[in-house]
Amino acid sequence: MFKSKKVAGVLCCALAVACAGVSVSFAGCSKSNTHIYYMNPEYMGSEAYLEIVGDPSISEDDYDSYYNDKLSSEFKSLSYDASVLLSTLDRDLSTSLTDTELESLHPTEENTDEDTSTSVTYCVYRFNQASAGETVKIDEYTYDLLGIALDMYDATDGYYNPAVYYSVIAYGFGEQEETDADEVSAYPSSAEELPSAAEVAAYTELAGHFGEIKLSTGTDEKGSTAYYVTKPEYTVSVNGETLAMKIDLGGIGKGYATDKISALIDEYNTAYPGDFKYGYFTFGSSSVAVKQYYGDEENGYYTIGLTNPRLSTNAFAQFTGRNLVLSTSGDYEQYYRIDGVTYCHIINPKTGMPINTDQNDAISSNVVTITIAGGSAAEDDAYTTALMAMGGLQAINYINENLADRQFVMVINFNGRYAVVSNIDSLEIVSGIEGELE
Amino acid sequence: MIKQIDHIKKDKGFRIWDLAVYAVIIAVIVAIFCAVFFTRDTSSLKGAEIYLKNELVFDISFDSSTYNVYSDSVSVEDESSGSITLRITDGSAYNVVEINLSGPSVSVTEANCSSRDCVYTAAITDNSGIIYCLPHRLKIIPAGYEPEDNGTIIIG
Repeated sequence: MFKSKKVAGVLCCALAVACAGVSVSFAGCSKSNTHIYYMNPEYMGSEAYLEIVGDPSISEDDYDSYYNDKLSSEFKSLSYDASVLLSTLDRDLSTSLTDTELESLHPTEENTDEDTSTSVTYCVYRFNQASAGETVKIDEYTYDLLGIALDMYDATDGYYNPAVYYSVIAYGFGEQEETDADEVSAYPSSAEELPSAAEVAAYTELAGHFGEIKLSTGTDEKGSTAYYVTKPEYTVSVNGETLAMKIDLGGIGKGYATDKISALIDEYNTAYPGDFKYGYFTFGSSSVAVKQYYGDEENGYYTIGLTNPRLSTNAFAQFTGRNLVLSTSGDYEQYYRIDGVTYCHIINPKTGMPINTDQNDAISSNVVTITIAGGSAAEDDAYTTALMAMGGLQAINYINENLADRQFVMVINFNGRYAVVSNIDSLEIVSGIEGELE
Repeated sequence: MIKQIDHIKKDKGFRIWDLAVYAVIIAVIVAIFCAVFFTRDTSSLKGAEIYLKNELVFDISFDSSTYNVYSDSVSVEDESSGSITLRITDGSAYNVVEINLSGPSVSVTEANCSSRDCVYTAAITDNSGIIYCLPHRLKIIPAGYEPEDNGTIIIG
């Protein structure tokens, strides 16, 4: 079979070394001195995942008492606090309620609302149901989040705009109002089902008044700080119906939740030094708070892989990092195709249409995915959405002028060819990007 | 040409080095198989947890023979001396879970999901088994199941 004894001999030795290496490596995989505590709840229609590892330097003698008593108890407390926070945000940001939730929202004789927490929950839903110019009482989280949204609206010149609500619904995305909150209507299947140009223009005009939202505070009957938001007076008429502004804060909600959970982990690490140093939190795989990786003893770096936008089972690039937050957006997360045009869930506030559908092919520079790290995850969430709406060339200019303190990775489709643009030194490209969304 | 053919005719099918190479290849395959098969956690099953849409709806401890039901979606259909049968429903979707206390083992015996992969998945008998019903978003794991952290987080 082998012409040369020398070749056969070399191959034989190489295989023998490989065999030995496999055996040794697996033999060396003894149980590490760590235990992972995790929670994996679902909020805001997405999976959240929180993982804490504990102190890997714990000795074998102290292992059982540390993990089974001390850290177990601490993690239960953290996961309870995290659950309360996430469930509160889930209710606050819901744009569509189930029958049960609606019943709890409207006080009855049996359910006279003495508990203010009920009267200030489902904040976004109540805002959306309110009339133009009406003032709605909200909770501190929603007040805080609306403040961030208004800041980001200004900072991005309106390219981040949560008031594109009607366009989102018209194109088949978001929580459709007439169905159960857990269901999403089927996407349009033909061009006739898409909104008309007149409808889109009206929605866009209405959304352009998002900056007229007014936030205010006061004191409630119990002497506590009360938070309010006043809807803009502006309305539009669509198909004979008068529409007041509606919003969807889901675009920055996950990032905001990630920031809060990250801060919560840090609080617990301060209270219990070293116990919450290692681990991470991810929300819907689009917003992440990374602490440190226990397996990298020298640097504590995690390897952060970025999903290939055209082959979601693979990562196209990766970089290392620790103690940071980041958010990502992509045109592949939710989309459908009609007559060869891909409609994704990210709406360009300037046109009221899904991004990457309205550019001249000859000069197209569509952003297909972008990840931003640093700052806050809520701001990163807003920036990624805005930059995708801007398009590649404008996005690059914006980043150079405004986001010098952030790290980013952006994939741009230049007339069918994909380019990766990034300022991260440790970025490593691991696979190619090609093809279109199927 | 004639010399070449003559050389091939004289060549033997196998030589000692060929056999050595084949032996090493087989050894590598066996080593990998053993490493994977024998390093899984085969410690006895202490308990099991059932999650529906990522919420814990049921758990059982085989050590104390006690169980907890956390959701109306779980109904105990039968509780004989050696087993417990659960029906887990979510709207029109259902899965029937059989828990054998003496094994102990946990398996899905019936479901109305499209593929019925959960029914065909082997019963959980030690701490290495997991049963998923993806269409119904049902997950059954051993109590104390730990995910692995290989230091990589995939986002997007």
